[in-house]
Amino acid sequence: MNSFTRPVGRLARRRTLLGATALVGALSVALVGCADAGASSTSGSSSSSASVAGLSSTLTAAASKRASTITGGKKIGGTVTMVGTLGGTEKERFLATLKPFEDATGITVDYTGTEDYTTVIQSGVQAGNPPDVMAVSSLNMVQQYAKEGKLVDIGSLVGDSTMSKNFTSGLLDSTTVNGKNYGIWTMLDNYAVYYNAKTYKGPKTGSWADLMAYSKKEAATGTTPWCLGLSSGSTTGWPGAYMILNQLLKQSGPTVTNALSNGTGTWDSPEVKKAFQAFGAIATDSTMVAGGASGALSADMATSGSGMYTTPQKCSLFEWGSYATSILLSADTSLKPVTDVDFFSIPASDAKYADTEGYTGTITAAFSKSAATKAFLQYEASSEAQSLIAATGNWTAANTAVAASSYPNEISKRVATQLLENKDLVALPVTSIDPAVKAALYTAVANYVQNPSTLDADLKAIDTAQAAVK
Amino acid sequence: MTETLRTPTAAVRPAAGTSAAGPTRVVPARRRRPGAARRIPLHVFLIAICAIWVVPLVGLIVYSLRTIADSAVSGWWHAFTAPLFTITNYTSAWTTGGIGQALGNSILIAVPTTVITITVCAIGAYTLARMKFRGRIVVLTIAVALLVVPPQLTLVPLLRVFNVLHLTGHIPGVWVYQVGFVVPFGIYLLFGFFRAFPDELIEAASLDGASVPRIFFSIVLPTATPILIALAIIQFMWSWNDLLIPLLFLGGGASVAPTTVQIAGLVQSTGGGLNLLTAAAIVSMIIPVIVTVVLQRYFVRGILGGAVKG
Amino acid sequence: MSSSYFLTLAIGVVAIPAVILAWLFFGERVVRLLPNRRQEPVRAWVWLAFPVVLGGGVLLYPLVQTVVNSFQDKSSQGFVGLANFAWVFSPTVVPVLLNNLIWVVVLPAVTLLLGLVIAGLADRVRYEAVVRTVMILPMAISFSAAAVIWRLMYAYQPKGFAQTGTIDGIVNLLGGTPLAFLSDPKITTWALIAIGVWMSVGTGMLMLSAALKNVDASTLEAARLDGASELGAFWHVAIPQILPTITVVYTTQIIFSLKVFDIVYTMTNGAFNTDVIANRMYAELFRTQQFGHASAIAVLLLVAAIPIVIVNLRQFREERVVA
Repeated sequence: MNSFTRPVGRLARRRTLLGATALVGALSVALVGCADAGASSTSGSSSSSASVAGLSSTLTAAASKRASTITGGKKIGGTVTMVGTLGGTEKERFLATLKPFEDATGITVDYTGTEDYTTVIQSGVQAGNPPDVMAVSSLNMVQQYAKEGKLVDIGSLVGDSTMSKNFTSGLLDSTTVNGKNYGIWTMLDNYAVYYNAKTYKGPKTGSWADLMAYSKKEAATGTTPWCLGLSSGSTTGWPGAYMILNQLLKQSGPTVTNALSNGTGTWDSPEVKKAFQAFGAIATDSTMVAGGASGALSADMATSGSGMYTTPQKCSLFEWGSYATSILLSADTSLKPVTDVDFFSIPASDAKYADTEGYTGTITAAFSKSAATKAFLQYEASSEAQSLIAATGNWTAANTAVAASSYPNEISKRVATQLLENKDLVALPVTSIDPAVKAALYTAVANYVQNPSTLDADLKAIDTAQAAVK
Repeated sequence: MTETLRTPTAAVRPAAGTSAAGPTRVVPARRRRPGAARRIPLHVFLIAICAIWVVPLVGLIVYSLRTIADSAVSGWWHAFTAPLFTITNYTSAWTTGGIGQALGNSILIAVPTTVITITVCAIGAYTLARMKFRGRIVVLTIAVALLVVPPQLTLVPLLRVFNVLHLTGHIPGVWVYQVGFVVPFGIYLLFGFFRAFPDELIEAASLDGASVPRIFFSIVLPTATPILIALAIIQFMWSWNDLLIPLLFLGGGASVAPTTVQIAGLVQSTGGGLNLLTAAAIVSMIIPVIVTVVLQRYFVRGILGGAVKG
Repeated sequence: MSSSYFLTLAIGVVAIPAVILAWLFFGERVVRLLPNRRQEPVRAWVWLAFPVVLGGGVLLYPLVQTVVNSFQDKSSQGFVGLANFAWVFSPTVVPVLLNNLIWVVVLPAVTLLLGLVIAGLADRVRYEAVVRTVMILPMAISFSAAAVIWRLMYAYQPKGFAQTGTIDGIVNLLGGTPLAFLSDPKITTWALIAIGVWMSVGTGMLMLSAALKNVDASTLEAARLDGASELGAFWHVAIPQILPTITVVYTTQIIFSLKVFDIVYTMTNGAFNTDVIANRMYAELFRTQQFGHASAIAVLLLVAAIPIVIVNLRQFREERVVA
């Protein structure tokens, strides 16, 4: 017992305490050293972003001029907080289109890009602290917040006449609630079949049946014609859902498709089932899709397209959004547009819908009417800023005043003309349906590919999710 | 406590019972220092486990050094047979991701959070373990029950409160959340240790005239070093890698965003960008690893043995 | 920016802890003015001020609100009685609960066992710190990165194709049939639990290792001299001494399993029969915005934790007897 109070023990104790104190001190000093190095070395990064994206200087100068016109030549300063979906190089490309605006007006755009944007916006709104601006792919969110009176109407910020001059009535209608417009379609994604221009010998026009006939013939020779990647973490299945909805549109037309969008249609209808099966004819057949069903389920969306250019080639066809070109070109810098990468419109199952094209995209909406936000939205709606969006090559600009010459390559130019001009444009239901229904749809796609016999139950599950929302 | 008190008796026993233990004494002597050969399975097991734990990380590191096109078509281990490495993922993660500034912000969040957590939890656990007062059991019960509260649930109510207090958008707001969230766990983790601390030591010091805070800081706390370090490591890692709280309570502005938020911002909605993400993730791992290695130096045996049982 | 950065850091690392310590020492002066009998209860509350305000504010306040919300409708307006709880036990949610049960049964047991074995064995080698660091490494990774790692580990290509996933690469090398870890409902939950084990053994080992450092070396020595084998000494002498820590580790892991979220959310988001309680709750909170449902799930978690609370309080009381 007396050993407890021995001086040696005390000494040891004191040493430990000293050690612990020194540790905390040393740690903070060491860590602070790192922090300082980190902080100072990033200062130059933002200024280079415009050049990274390689935007044309003529377009940049025009955008810059427009931006200073908006604020009357004054640097009004301030910050616009913005929450959106973009990440990585896509985010960088988008921010580059804002650079002229920031430089001309002194306004900083604080962009948060995250897959969890719904959570961030949702909790911000509930807590009474939403971002100034959101840029989301969900029309549903725009409509819902507009109905709740959380959004500022775009007409009062940008002017209704500017909006109707720059955008088609179809796009304007989609964001209109109770006679007021609440969103700007700033970027569009269109869908098409991309192919390896060097090896693909099949039809580029005609019907879906023609394409499938060619695919089957190709499959019989032992080479899989299609690539598909459904794996995407928490949104696994989404690329399949987009294929199915494009299929539905070109097989059963806009009425059936729009009924799903506005919640009046049901997902276990024969039309939807047929679209699933048309997709399943590719996705669940191991001779048709590289790696078979489980390969498609496990493959990553972004990298599976590269299968068109591997040796040996995994596939020669891939249905994808208009961002496909920039993803393929940046993954493999040896590829050239048109000579290696090209596309054709998704063939229609029903010839009536050959000129009907589906789209998704990004809608920008405002929770704030601050001077900075107002200036920002005026800039976003302008044809100059939209031309820069086009110039990134990543998106199609929604603004009709954007010249085709703004697009950086032949493919993105053709996407803008071939898939938009003189077409009957229909927003795919994924933009309008409730997030819960969307999640159920993605899960249903994944489950269906995993086990095709469960299709009826999978479709019912989407209807259950839809019923729960109402 | 019984265990500790029994110690001296147990230590003396062999000497007292020499005759009974006689024949077996040779054996334990040999067992105590088994030959190197007998220890081989031990080393094999530990090295195998470490290898299993490290392989996923090696995969990550190799992946971060390959091009997107290569990663799409072959497993990362092919990099060793047909080496084609690139550092572009790192350079672009640094510029695109703004990882440098983010590291600074992560430090500004994790270091204070860890220091404050240790302080608050040690005080709380000691109070509950060693002081007699009304409501002790109630506080203890609530603390254990609070362990199961899922963080997702606290987001909206707290965001509302933090807005009112003007804590959103400021890093100290994240300290408050992260410390508060870990307090029940920290108390729970330290409670048992303080509970088992020998009464005699405290009584002796008390008779010497030391005040309660002084006894706590100069006698009790130093012996708790290993468990405090464990808590520090756990809290530092959690704070460093927390995504949801900084994202919601700070917003993603580059001036305040930590590495997790910046890394999440590297994930492209249309896929792709995984190579950038892996590079950024590895950069963001460096500091937690250094912290772990440094803190472990204070994890040595004999702290309690030296002070209490010496 | 630089000077305000260091100022903030100094406030967090030095000023705030200093204020807390000052509060204790100043409080002690006030407490000393009281009659002897009343000193300890008052001192206890002085000491508990910071922990209670912080923990209570961050966790207790939302919890109380949740309990109220669980009896209210989806937007927390009118009261709906037990409707939300009926939903929790409806056929849509029960499979989720059962699936979560697999986590609660398997993960803590495996983690505890591995943590104990590794902590015990590493205690005997010179490179212990290396082993410990390696085991903790998974904690040093943010979950967005861990998800990438495990997609690399589990990436699947059918037999005959070049494998891109680590595990299937090995399976292929050994001549086996590659497994679709992340899309075959029969094995996906187990594949996710394996990730959970990889991530949490480090924590368990760390705590157990800390406890083993405090095991009285002389008691082990004595047992060996008594003729006990290494394993026997560890089992009969060391284990009883670290039993409180074992309870702590096991409890921590049960709670981790009960509210496991990140792994499931980022890897599958509940597809292929992998959904768990917290992921479902997150979906109800932020996707469908059914606050009633989300709150009812949370209350269920709390109820599920009651046995854990009881066992731990009993353990605490036993320790009291011992002390």
